[in-house]
Amino acid sequence: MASLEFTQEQIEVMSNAELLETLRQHGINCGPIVPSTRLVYQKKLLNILSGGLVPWKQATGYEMEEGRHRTESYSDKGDEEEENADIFDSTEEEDEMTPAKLNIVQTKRGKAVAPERLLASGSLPKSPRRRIVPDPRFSRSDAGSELSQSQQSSDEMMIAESEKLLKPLKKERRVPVYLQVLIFIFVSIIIYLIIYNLEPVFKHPISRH
Amino acid sequence: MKWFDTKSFNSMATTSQKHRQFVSEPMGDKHVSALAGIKDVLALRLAQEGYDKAYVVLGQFLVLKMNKKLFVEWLMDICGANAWQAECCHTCLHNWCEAFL
Repeated sequence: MASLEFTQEQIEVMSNAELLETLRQHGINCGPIVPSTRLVYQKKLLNILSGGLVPWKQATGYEMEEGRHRTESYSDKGDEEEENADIFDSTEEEDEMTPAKLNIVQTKRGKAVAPERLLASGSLPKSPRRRIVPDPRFSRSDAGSELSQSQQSSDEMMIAESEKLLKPLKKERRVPVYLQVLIFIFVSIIIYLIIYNLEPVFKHPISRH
Repeated sequence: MKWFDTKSFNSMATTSQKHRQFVSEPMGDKHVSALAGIKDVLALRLAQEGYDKAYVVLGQFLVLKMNKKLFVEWLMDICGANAWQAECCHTCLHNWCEAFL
């Protein structure tokens, strides 16, 4: 365990003002510490204090399935502090990203960890989080164009449709199966009768009369 | 722009239709799923957390002082987005702010 100026517990019990002040002392231009931003700034401070030992970026969506326990999802071995200081370089400028490096590393780690995580996680806290993996398959075309129309009703529609996605996917049939089969048989009989009663092409037209 | 940054190999070279549509006009009262990178399940989770409209996410983006790392981290944390989706959303909001803020 590296010796930190503040431990994680101390950071968590800091007041907003103290956290703000500490971040500023480390040269970070931070915004207001409000309930929605506090968690992110806590992690940032932890990252800064540990000199990059605690990785900054999350891995890919595979490791999100454990819910809100982010510290566990950081490492392969379950330790909170990693030795991969070289990969997660905290000396980069704050506003610059190297998504290439981080993404490549993360996808490798994410893929390596995913099956183990899924097995080890046991009961998942939220079943909707299972849907992270097949997320790209839900290709909703023209979602933007839908919203440019009546937005209020479409909002409710979107939520209703999204909720439907969380349940097992079921194709809604407007026409029942048996009805489709009946129609198919009916149409095929009609076509058969037509073809059967068609006059042959090569017969002499005058011979009929 | 970041798209032509040689370091970022994985960042998208072109903008998506959704991105262009969002950035082309004031967001008004659009649902959060209008944001680029935010699709069905992510939009639902954000709505459950209270971020049901795009402007609420914009609010969070502004409170974080438009910092890319912080915003991406926050978005991945709150709705389980992956890095690429979060970056798409960030780029979308960033461009929107450049145009309208």
